Amino acid sequence: MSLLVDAKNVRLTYPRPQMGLRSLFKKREPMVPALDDVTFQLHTGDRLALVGLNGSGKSTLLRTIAGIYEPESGSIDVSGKIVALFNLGVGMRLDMSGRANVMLLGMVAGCSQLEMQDLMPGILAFSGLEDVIDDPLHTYSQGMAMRLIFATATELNPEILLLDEWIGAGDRLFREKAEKRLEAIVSDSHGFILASHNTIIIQRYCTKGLWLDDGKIAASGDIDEVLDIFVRETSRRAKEDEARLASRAA
Amino acid sequence: MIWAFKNLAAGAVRWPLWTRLAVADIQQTYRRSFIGMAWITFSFAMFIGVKILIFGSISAADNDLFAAWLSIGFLIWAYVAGNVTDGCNVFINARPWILGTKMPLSVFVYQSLTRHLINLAYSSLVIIVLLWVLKWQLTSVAWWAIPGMLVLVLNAWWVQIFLGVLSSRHRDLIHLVQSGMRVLFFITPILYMPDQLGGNAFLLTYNPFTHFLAIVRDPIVLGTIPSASWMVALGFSVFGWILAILTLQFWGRRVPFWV
Repeated sequence: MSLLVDAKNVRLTYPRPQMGLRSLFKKREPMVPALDDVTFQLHTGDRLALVGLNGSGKSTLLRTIAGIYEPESGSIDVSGKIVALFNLGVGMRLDMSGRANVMLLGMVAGCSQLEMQDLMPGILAFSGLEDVIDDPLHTYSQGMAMRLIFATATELNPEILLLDEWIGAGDRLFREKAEKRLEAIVSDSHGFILASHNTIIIQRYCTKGLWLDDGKIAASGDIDEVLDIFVRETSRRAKEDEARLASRAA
Repeated sequence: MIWAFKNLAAGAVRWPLWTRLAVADIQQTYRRSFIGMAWITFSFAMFIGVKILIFGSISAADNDLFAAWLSIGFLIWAYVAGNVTDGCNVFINARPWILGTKMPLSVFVYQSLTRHLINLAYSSLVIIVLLWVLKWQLTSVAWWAIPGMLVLVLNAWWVQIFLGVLSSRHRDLIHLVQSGMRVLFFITPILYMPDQLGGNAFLLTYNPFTHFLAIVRDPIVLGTIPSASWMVALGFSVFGWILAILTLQFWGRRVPFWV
């Protein structure tokens, strides 16, 4: 069991949005941190789920783990090759061929052209787009483009896999293949972090849980325990919310 | 300063990516057109042709001299101004990349620099043809245009880093720079020669772009090496790079939050 991600007291605050001249006349309230005192560890074999309501900091935490955002205080140490499957389509060029786009996606992920040429047959076979691979991407349907991106992204063997919502792609035929492929890379990866609202998916693939509430860790530990607390607490809040709406209507 | 230098180096080694992206950027502009990237050359030729026709007839200078002066001046101005104005948006335009992938910031600067160099190369074909048509006599001094060009690239590089980081946070800078460049165009000797301004010619020497143009243009057009302009250009290079490295070091890591 080695340590893959070691986050200690991570704190991160977004800068105040620039509102032009208006902001000169508005009172400046201090910004609320998006992540506050977040401490957790990911060990080899851990499958971690990030749960929390909208705007609670899940995506911010994923981006911080991926090294995109730098925490303002605290530290986050990562050992291993991270593949983050969010913003899947970044780098796609509609006027270039499917093949050229696969090469580009590979280069974005840090693979050399030679490595990509080795991976190409596998990507072609899996996406099922051999016949149109040299046509420009703008001639593809949206589903076909997604299939190509999915096939490429999942071909790059990650050590640590980050997912912002479970991804699926394509038609009925492809969806099942995609499901299996994603399952396979999740189980092949040394560590896996998934931010999701889908409790069924979370229970199926994750062993541990971290509940982020307004940027703070509200619960962490075994997935069933965390989900239990999270669901109980959010149901309570939902009831409160309902009561508030009802009293306003009355 | 370590982070800034590491970022520049980590971006540089991704050259297969940024050269590919730079070419793709240009291809995208001319996609599905029949002559494609030849449009860069063609449109610059038309632009220069009309300018020589109009301003040549109202200029007192020798026709051939003026044609060479104006066309090379425009070529360099287009390169310099393009780098300055695009530099402001170099990170803002890369927002999905910056937020979606872990990519050294400098990659986007290299991509933009390469794109402008490709544009410059295509446009300079017009100059080569023009000088050939004019049977222009180049002296051995003309070689000085090459180090001059290198200094321009060196400056375009720091300008893009500096403006890119600052204007991702302070968007007013983009508009300030754009308006500023429009004004500066007229106080840069391109459409006229300095001596045509008479007593006001000294004003031009306060405009750094005058000097950046001179170090490339003078060796070709006048057959001289403008030593004062070289001093200014080198001074700007050193000063600018220090500024850019400091900017990158202190604020580069904030750019993902700003774009």
